[in-house]
Amino acid sequence: MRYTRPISLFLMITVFAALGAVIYLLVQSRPLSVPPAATEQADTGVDISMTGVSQTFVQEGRISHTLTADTASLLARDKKAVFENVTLTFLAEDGTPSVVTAKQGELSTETGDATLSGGVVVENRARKIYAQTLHYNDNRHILYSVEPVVVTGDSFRFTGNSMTFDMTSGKAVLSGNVTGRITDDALALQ
Amino acid sequence: DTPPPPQDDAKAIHISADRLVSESRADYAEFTGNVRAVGEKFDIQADTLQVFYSPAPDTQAPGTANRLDTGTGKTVREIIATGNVTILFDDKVAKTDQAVYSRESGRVVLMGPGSTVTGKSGRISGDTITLHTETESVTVISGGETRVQAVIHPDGSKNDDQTEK
Repeated sequence: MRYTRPISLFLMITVFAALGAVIYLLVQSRPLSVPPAATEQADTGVDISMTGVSQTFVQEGRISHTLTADTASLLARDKKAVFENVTLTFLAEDGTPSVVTAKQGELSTETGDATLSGGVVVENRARKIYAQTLHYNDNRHILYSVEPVVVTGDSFRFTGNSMTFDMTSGKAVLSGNVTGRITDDALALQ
Repeated sequence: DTPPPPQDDAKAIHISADRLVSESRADYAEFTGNVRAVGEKFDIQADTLQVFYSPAPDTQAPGTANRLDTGTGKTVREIIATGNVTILFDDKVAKTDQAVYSRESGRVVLMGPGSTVTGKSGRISGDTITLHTETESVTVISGGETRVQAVIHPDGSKNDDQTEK
């Protein structure tokens, strides 16, 4: 009888130790139940996502342009904001609006420069400009394209290899292989 | 949003150039570099072509069918071709430093010493040559230093080059 008490104690300790080991292993191998969206968000570096975005930009005490978009995602590490279905409205010195629409927009939060892509259209009273990609230089307050663009009006249509559009003066320069037409009764020299 | 396709329009003036500068508020557009403008009845080549619009408030009014609307409710008022200007029209060739077309007067004025208009019936040259598009008449003025010159081939048979040899 003298030995049975320590043996049973030893056996009880062993059983509890084994049970503890099994529980520990189970806990280690169980994946953390974290919402997938958050994981995805962690991977893309998006810090803040917003919908129904609207922003006004003021330069020298005057509204220079406004921005609206369906969605906006701020990527602080990359110092940029990405927009979906974006509309930028630029106001020239005399208040003439030029409205720019695009499927995507990327705005540098550092420089204020932007790149617009996806069926980009710039429209004001005088003309419409179509391009696949347009860049905006905030410092010079110009839109420019290094790809072919089309410029149209009621009775003119011109294409060129590249373009700059000064949002303050309203001056557009189309360069490189400029071709197109003016519908012109008068010039027919009847 | 994709651009409208180019339309085939006999009255259209087809223009090609290296560069186009358009000032929406300054009623002005300028084509520079190897400019060529081809219309129904003429073909202009020049270094620069400037198109000046006039804001026509009544362009929106009904009955202004023949107005030329350049997309801004404006009409083309004047066109100036400058630098190595060659104009082909009515089987004639005009060469000058500068040609100014005025919509209001319907005239084309060639300006520059040694401006010439050459056709089957001969050749004229002077410092200022005015082509009246309605009456198809021509007025030539000299600048004082050089005389107006005209070479007429009554029967239109001789080629002007032959007379110069």
